[in-house]
Amino acid sequence: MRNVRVCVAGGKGGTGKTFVATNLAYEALQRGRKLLLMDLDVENPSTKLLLRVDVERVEEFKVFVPVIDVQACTRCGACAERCPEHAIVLLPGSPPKVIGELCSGCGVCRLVCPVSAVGQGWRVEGRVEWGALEGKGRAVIGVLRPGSKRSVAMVVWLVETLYPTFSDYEVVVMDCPPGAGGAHVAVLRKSTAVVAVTEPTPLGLSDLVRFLRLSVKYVEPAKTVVVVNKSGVAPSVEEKVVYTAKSHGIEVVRIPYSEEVVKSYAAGRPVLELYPQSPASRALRELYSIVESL
Amino acid sequence: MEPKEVVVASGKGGTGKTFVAANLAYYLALAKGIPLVAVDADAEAPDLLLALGGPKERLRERVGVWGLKARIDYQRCTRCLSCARVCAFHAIEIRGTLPVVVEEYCEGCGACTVVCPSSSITFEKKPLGTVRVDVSRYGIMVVTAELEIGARGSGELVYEAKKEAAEIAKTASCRLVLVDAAAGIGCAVISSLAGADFLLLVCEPTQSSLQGARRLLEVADKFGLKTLALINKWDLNPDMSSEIRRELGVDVLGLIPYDPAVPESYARMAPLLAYAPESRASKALVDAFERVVRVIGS
Repeated sequence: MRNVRVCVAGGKGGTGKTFVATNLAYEALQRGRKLLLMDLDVENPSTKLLLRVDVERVEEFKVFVPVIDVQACTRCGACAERCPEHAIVLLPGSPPKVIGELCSGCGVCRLVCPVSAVGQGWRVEGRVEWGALEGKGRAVIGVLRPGSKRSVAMVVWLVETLYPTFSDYEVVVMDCPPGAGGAHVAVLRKSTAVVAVTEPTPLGLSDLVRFLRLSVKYVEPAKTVVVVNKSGVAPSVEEKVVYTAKSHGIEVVRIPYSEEVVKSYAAGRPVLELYPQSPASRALRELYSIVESL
Repeated sequence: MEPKEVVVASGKGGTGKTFVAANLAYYLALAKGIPLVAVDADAEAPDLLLALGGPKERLRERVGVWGLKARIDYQRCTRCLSCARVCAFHAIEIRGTLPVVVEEYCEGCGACTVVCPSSSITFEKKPLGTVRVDVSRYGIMVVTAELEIGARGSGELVYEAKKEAAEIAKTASCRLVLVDAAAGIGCAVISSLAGADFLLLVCEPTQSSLQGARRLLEVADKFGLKTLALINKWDLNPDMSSEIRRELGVDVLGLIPYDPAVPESYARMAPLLAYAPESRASKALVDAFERVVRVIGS
């Protein structure tokens, strides 16, 4: 089997990205595939609420912050002057002070200091959990520290760091956050297929279009599937969504809104496991087959 | 008198922030006659104006955030690759023997220029996001922050949008600034919370929503906002709704039932209170909003 790397996104929050990603991962394992699931919604990762993850290792996600060696410092002010974020302040009579929350970790201060007085300190901005998924696959979950501003940096780091290991797997599912920003670029650059999950509302359609404008720069429409989740609640809007996708050469799968989906959420298990014959499960299996063939 | 600022946030996406913000704005402005300006701070997926009927009149638009993107002059470049080694943002890749800028990752910090021995790197200014001011079809003024697709910088853009709203509030004597925040707890949300007076936390009855709400409260704690909560679609899982009420540690001012009139109102791009004021969800919203008004004291 070829290596399939799927970006699961869609723009609008709450359309069911994690629902789709976890069910796709579950289906991959049912079919005996070597699977990696990455939970990149680092601001609010929900994989463990829907699938069993046995966490084997937890690693800190750290970013560089400058630490000024007060003895070596000559107070020349180069660090403060060259800092692009104005995160270093030099007041009369004191050594340069680093304002941690403004620092982006670029390292310019270290590079411009003429006496090497800027040392490498670290700030913990989150943690990464590695473990077994449903006892058969692998999961990597990024958890951002509440208050951290490094959400995008964390996703970029996770994707770039794990990318060399992608070839160890047959299927890699990357569950993305809402939006169409820097984090999504990192994932799209490493994806062979895109599953864009939306809902039949004008808001969902607007955000979907924004996301697709971004995703088609990296993954062609022929390797993209739009999933209309909660299908059936607003037929006129749904037809607009379907038309938009199809007119761009993008296939559509509809997952009907159903009580089975709501119940499986409440039970914290995939709908494919609890209600395998439900219309939602049938649609998800169809989606999986399509994704594998892209 | 300084206008009060209310932020509608949630942590988890899809709980109904824009739904609540749009209806609250409609209720306060039209039913209560409170002059207000709304801010769409969901910079990567802005929907508030759509939820309020779409734009009736575009008042102004400007670039809210500029970025600097590195450009390498390959005539001068010596292929030493120092730039690629020093970039903290993975923004310079090595392809073969050449350093290549990955523009989407470039933060414009200039670290590459510090180490470049041949002065081969310059920077180009690029707009990263816009701030727009529109009057919506229902007469409510909306300031929208919209980030360029694939860009970073949502925090600064939200800050610019709130600044714009503050100016409008002053000139139009508004008593309230209502901010519809993004999902999550990142930069855009942090910027939304900074300087606000009240947080209206919108939950749905799922574990993911409770988890997201807790993470949001951890962040919001530092800002000293008075926090109120609503549980949207509460009857989809009454047990979970009860759990949220018990565990959240915040006053839950309202329970809004799931109502098929809601997706219908979305399809018509009208606030539910305008489209179906007699629906169950509308009545629950009005009850909740009356309590919100009492707390805010407007």
